[in-house]
Amino acid sequence: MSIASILNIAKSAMFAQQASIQISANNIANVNTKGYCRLDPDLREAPLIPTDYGLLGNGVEIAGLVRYFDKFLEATIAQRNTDLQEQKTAVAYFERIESILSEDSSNLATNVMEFFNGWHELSADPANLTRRSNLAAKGANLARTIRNLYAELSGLQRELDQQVQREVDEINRLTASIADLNGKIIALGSSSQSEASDYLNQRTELLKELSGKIKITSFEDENGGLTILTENGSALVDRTRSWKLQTQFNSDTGFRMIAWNDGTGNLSDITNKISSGRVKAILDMRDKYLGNGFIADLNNLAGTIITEVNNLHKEGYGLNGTDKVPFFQETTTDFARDMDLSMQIKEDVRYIAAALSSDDYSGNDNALRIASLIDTDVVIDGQNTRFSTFISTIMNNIGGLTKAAQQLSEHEESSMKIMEQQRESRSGVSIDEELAKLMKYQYAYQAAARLISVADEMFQTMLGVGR
Amino acid sequence: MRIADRFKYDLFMYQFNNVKTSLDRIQEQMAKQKRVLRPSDDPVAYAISVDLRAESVIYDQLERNILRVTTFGKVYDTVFGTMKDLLAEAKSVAINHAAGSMDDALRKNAVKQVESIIEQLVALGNTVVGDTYVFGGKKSNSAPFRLNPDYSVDFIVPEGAEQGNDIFIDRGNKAQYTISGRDAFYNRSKTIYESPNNKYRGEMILNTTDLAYVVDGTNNTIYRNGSAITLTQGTYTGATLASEIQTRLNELETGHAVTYDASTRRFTFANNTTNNITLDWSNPGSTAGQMLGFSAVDATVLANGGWDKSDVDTGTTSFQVEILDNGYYQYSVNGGAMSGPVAINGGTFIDGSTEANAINRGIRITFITTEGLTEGDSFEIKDYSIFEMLKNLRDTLSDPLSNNANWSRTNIAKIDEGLNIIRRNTAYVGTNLQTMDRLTEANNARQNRTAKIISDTMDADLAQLATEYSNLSTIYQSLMYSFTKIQELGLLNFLK
Repeated sequence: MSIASILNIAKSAMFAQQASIQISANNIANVNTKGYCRLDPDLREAPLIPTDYGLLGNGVEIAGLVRYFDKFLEATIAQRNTDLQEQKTAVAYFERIESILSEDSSNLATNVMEFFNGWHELSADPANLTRRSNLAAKGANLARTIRNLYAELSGLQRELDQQVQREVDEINRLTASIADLNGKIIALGSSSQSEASDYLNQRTELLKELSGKIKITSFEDENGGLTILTENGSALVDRTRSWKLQTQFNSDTGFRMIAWNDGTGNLSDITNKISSGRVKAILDMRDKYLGNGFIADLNNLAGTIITEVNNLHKEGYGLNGTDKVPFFQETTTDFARDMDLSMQIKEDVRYIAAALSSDDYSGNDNALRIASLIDTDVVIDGQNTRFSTFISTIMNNIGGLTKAAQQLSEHEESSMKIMEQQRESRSGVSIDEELAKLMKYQYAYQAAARLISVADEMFQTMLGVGR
Repeated sequence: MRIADRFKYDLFMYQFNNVKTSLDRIQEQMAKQKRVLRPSDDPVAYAISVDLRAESVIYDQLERNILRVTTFGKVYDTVFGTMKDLLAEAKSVAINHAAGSMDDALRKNAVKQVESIIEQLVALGNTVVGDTYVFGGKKSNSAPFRLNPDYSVDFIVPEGAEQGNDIFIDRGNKAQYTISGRDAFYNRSKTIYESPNNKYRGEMILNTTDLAYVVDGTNNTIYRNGSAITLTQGTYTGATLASEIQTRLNELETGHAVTYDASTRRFTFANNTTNNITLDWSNPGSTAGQMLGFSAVDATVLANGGWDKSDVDTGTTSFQVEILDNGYYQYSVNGGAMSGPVAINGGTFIDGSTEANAINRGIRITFITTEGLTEGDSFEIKDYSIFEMLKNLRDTLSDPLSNNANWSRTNIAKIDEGLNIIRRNTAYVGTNLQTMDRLTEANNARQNRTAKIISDTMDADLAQLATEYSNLSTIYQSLMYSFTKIQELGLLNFLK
């Protein structure tokens, strides 16, 4: 045992406390860093030294860093993020559809009613050219409203289709980054190694981001390598290797489908196997809620208006004696997209067939028949309903879907908050705590420095004995 | 539990955003005074409001339609009032003429007066409201009456277009807002018009003013859904024939109602069964179709209240009678060729037949006396017409050698018939206007009720919103304050 050993002890203590202050400083610096896991020094007593008096302490050393990380909690958060992102995406798009279809902005029901009221008006003075022009204007306005709604909804559908491509690109970027990080973590030997902490934090964040896009399954091997599979078992990442997703166009719909590339160029379609996540919401929005939903509804509405009005209109006679003239341009499929007045009606409102008999071109029987459609059950998409009821059902549907998505999203967000609270409770940085630690380390550091001073005095005393 | 700083901040932001969103929302609700701003706020309420607003648009339109009927009603009321005055004036002329007190100058003046009355009546008949000739029936864009130089007046609306236009005045209910010129200036009772040049001074009697419907082997079949229905042969009135048809149809399936409207002389087939039926008027075997006024076009009559109505008036048949010598006359039907001689007052129908048939339609003419009946005297039997009657008066007045005061004595009643038409139409218009008043009230009540439901469903309670806004403002400020305070409580502040 020597005075020098006291100096050694003091030195190790100063180094350890200084390193601890650095760790705390880093924790404080990352107090707002998303996904950061706080670190603590793992201070251990240095190996004991045998002396005549027995084993004596030899100072302190930092055995490693403690990373406050709950693997299972992080996995749960990642899974929960799948549902949260799906609902948040759904809310965002439902709200956009809602803003398009809402009666306050679209005036769809009002314009349908106004159109049929135009026939009522005409029935009150069938030969009046002003009333005929007014009816034609109302018909054109209705057609324009439906065309505009169709254009907005189909524009949104195309945007969603492009979004599919962006999401796939993003997924590929994430899986490539995760594979890269896997490589770095494996190279460092173990995921628990302190040097890997930064990579692990990054990988955890990327995994969370990836799980927000599609539902995945992940597990870690003994070397810290992460394997990620899609829910149907297609590998996305395996240690340092990543597999790409690709889009391919469906010839029937003209929209993108998502396929898994096995690495040799073979593609397998996984579009219908994606059951949740942001991508699922986008696909559902594009195909189910727009394609087969609101766009189809709009198309059915336009188709029924065109068919019902034209069928009656062609049985009537215009003021110029012509019959068999359609009121709306006749189309066979894309009713909403192409809805417009027929060429004849655009050309001359005398073609409007208000009369039902060739004896009286200025009669109003046909106008009354068409006007009565406003209050008559018609068959729209196989249902017996009135036009206004069908439109209010559309409003009810979009309102219900949006509200349900909002409620689910709120629920998911609330659940996520609870889990994030747990995560932050475990991994997050508390400035108070770090400041307390700083003081603790600072005092320890000062004490160690004081120890050197004491050892120095001891040396001086000893050296003074010989003078 | 450890509280990490980031979580404190995140939680604050989460709560702050929630409160801010609620505040913004209440502000928007207050600004728009609506509780439900978009479908997702309350999907059911929003859908109901869309439906109700659509209903409200219908009620607005019905209100305009009712106003239209009311406007026309007031126009008709004025027109009929003027017509009544004009006919009263004509009656006065006829009475003066009947008194035999007119010298030549007065007579000529009376002619001018009657001509003026006819001209004014034609002008009234061609009254226009907007672009609509109010008596034009369905051919409302051209003048329905044409005054000829001889002061005869043609009603130039095609028969199928005579009926006035309907308009919806209630949901599913229509009302006629125009009155046909036929209904305003004519009626369906057969009248004898005698030529002013006749030597005959006596009276004539028709056995009936209505035409009979004679069903025989040539016109006794109706086809329904491809099956023949045979009517019992015989002579019918419109009403009894309708009853006979209804009986035969109900033998196949109950629920048919067949009616006859004497004012239009049309038949209506109503289908109150639960199945659609087809009346096969185009079937060559459907021989009763023409008699019943249906054109040869099949009609699908919808179940539970659908109906099919005669396309044309079934009783427009007219006869021309000319006296021959030796106690005989000849006749023509609908302006056709003259018949052979028929004995005057022979106790037979107009065609000399002892039974009613499809030609004579049950009409018989009897002269009260044969004294003065002279070869060449002529008589027309046709539907009553105010114009025809006035022209007859005018012609009588014009010719100093004509039937003279006799016409006026025997035919003043015909002017009364014209006045009866006007009274009937005035009563119809009055009733119609009363109905419109009631409908207006009912419609307003419905509109108010709909508006109230929409308001209850959608509108904001401003007092409630103001309270909520105040509460949220307090929460908002408290949140900010508490966050600041919590942040102040850090160890960092103690170490400063």
